[in-house]
Amino acid sequence: MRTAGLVTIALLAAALVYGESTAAELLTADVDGWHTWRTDEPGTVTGMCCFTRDPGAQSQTGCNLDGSRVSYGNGGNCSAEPGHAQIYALMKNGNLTRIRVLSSECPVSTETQLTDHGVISSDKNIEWFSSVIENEQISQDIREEALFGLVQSESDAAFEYIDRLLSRR
Amino acid sequence: MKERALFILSQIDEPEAQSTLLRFAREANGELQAEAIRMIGIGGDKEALAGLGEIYQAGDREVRDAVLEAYLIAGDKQAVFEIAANTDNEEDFEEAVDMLGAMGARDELRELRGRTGMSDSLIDAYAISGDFETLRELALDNSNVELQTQAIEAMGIVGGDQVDSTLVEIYKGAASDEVREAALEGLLISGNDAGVLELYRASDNSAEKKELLEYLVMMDSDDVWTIIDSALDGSQ
Repeated sequence: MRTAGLVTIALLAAALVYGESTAAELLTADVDGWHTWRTDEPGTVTGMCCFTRDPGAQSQTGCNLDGSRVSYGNGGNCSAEPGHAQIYALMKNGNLTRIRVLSSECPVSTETQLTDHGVISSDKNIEWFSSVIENEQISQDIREEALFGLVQSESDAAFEYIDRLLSRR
Repeated sequence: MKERALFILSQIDEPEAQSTLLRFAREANGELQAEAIRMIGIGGDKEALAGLGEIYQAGDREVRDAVLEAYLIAGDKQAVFEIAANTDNEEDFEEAVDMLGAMGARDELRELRGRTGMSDSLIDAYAISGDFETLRELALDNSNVELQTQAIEAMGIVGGDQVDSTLVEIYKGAASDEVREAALEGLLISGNDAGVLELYRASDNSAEKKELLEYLVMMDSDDVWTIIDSALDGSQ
């Protein structure tokens, strides 16, 4: 228990020093709703966005994060202007239930509370994703969403991380 | 009621019944005509089926589609082949070729390859009919890259071990990006994540690995998760 407390203090201290949320804070956020952050990895751009299919209408004006029938992609009707990777993670009852990675230029809408954590370094971002992908206690669907999102972020650092993961013996 | 009467006619093995059915197929209009044509297919009487050729030639698109459907029901590959082989109309050719694909008429489709040249619909039909051998020949023929890449992708529809290993070999030996991309698309269509993973592991080019990884994730690869989870289990 004491060790856990020290770790928490260390993470909080790091957050104060670097002025950004830590991976642990993001993952264990006790605030339900969508959490979003952006990475600033140089040279990394993605056009990922989406459109929502509604009966009789097709919105191409961006993503409704709460939508159940949403198509994602980086081409055709789905794409947005290239931008940095913008991560969206949905917490419900303290559990991570959905992950989306979109272009920071992709307009989104939601009726759910949205907490913006600002810009996160690439390392912290990878740390957060790895804490999901490598956590076998988290549902397989969410781990797959995390891996998919990480690949969609078009980040070199992300690919290096996944390559290391796949090369482990 | 009329449709029911047509069905009963189709089941009577008498020349008068078949000629009455054929008369409806020739002289009726709209749905009744299409139904009469369909019933000739269900009845399967050879003379009545032969009479559909004339109705096809005189008919509009709906009538022609009904005749093709009747041949499909009767399993008359030769009649559909004759339409494809003798028409100058591109739409008629494509519709007939599609039907031959659905009928699994590999021999007839192979014969069309020599007689009428190639088209997208013919390659699709090779795929639908499961003709791996013909697609493989086309996939290895680099005299026309467009046809070659279409054939490579279409192999993915056929699927199976032979396709999987051929697509991996085509990818490895590709002389152009188009051919390499087509092989990757083929692997995606066939769902061969093991093949893509093999290519990923064999590559030492970071851009190529990045693309292969994107495909693996798109394919929702179980093999990737097996590696990840076994790596995690090993490190615990």
